[in-house]
Amino acid sequence: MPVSMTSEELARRLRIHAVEMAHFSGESHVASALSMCDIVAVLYRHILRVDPGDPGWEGRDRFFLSKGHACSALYAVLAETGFFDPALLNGQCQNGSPLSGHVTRKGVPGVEWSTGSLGHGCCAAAGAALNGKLKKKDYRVYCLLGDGECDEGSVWEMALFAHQYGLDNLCVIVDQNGMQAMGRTEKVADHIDLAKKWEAFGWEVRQADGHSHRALREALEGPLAGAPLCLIAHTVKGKGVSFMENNLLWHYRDPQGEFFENALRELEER
Amino acid sequence: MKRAFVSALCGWMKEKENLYLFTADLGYGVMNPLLEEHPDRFINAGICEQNMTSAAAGFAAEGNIVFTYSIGNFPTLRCLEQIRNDVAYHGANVKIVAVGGGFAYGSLGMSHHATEDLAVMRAIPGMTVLAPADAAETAEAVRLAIETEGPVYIRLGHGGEPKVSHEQGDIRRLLRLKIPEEAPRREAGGGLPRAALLGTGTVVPQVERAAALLQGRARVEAYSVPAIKPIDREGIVRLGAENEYVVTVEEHNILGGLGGAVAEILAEAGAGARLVRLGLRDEFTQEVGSAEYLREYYGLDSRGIVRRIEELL
Ligand SMILES: Cc1ncc(C[n+]2csc(CCOP(=O)(O)OP(=O)(O)O)c2C)c(N)n1
Repeated sequence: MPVSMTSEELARRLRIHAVEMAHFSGESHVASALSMCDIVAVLYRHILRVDPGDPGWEGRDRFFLSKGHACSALYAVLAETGFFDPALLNGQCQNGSPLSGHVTRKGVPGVEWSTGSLGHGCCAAAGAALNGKLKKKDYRVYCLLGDGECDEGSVWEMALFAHQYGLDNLCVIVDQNGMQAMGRTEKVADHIDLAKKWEAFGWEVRQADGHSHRALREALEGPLAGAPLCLIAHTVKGKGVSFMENNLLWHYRDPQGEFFENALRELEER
Repeated sequence: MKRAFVSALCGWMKEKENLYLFTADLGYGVMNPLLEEHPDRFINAGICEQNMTSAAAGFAAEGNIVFTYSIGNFPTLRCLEQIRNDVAYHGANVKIVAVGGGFAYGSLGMSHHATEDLAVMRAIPGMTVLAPADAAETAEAVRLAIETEGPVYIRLGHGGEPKVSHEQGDIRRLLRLKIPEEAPRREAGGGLPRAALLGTGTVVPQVERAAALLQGRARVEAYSVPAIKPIDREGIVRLGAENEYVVTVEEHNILGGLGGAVAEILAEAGAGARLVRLGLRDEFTQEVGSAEYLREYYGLDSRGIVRRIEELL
């Protein structure tokens, strides 16, 4: 990635990758990936202290993708920022590829944690943050959760734990696109007011437009809050491809034929 | 198979007013027939497998029959203690259904490969464990689950499984597969080693084909074993006495599933046959790819099975 590339341009490229990866693999969760492209672009361009030349560097900031089904966006940002060869991307899910349909760290440089069962990654992230606290390390730990994923009880067990141990080096970002696997979140398991819930667990809560890079940076670059931080990112599932936006079908469907061409055209014209 | 499951369940809902389905936010599309015919029997608990399972147990204790539904390991391992304490210990009438057992979600990765579920569920006291191979076996599994008082686990494939060749029969028994090539008669086959191949679930078509490929080199019988627990003990003891080799094949760890169950029976019966267990050798699937690719990689496709048996003979 040229140093001059803006995070906006990076995000646009991630979206193109995500659409192409779903097209070639015949698997999907493409809308889930499009929802988070801006978030990971900002993280990897401006926030995370990582070294693609030394992915396991002890002092690195850790990023845990808890909503592991949306991993095409993570694989793409790792490839675009130099962790591995982007030529691997379009082989995702295919026979013999290292890149599975839920994120794996086996054989994939830069991936912090293998996930796919919701409500695990965030708890492992809290463990990494606890180590940072106890050993007085200055790395920070970031974790991306789905809002549907917040149905899982383990998320709230983690929320108690992180508050109890004062994990102010931990930042959870909730990709709040309002949709999950069978419908809109409020129709399945209404969270009512997610911000209030995290606050009630003793977390510092910030909110931002999850597609505004400036807003995301402002929220993430602020000083440590003295408490674990929850950033609620207001997003649109399928963002960037008009016919995928807020359309649950694209949680499942892989773009082929006209859909593929139209999706790419929209993203290339942006 | 998941469509066969939903259609069988819809049929039963017409007869049984106390029959419900709980899902943990899965079943998009597949559940449409149920949502149309019986919307009031469908409960989406959200992405909350633990609560879904305990709530199903409490609801069942009030006189209902509940099917809990999700994919891979989510309805089993994710909520294992809820299954043990709330469902099984209370003898609750809960039927746990996992779509995508074994390698069905091959390309989706480790989290989605259910390859220890049979062993884990088999270890739960009172749990019936079923792994049908095709749509017909699935419909029978649903019937058996409804007719069985207490907990049942049903491991399904994903969809598009070919039909297997046995006549419809009681799925609690070993079901003998019709091997396409006429098996050599006793006289003609005299002197050939005898082997029985047992498969469960989505791997059964591979077993069927392997048995056909082996005709002439061995006297091979092949069986589908949809009921892992209780398993057809008598049938297995008989095969152990009549054969030199008993071979089990499963998309599962060789520990504790079909191979484990057969090993326990043959050892206790002191049966003469040598047992060979084919499956994952106590490992995670590290590979990414389709179910066919994974079966081939781990030697569970028909050719892999034949290769292994030829080594023995
Ligand atoms: C424990 C568990 N249960 C169920 C699933 C199946 N599943 C995959 S994605 C998904 C919906 C996730 O919704 P959300 O967290 O809001 O993420 P989004 O895709 O909307 O960004 C579900 C239920 C899973 N992966 N893990």
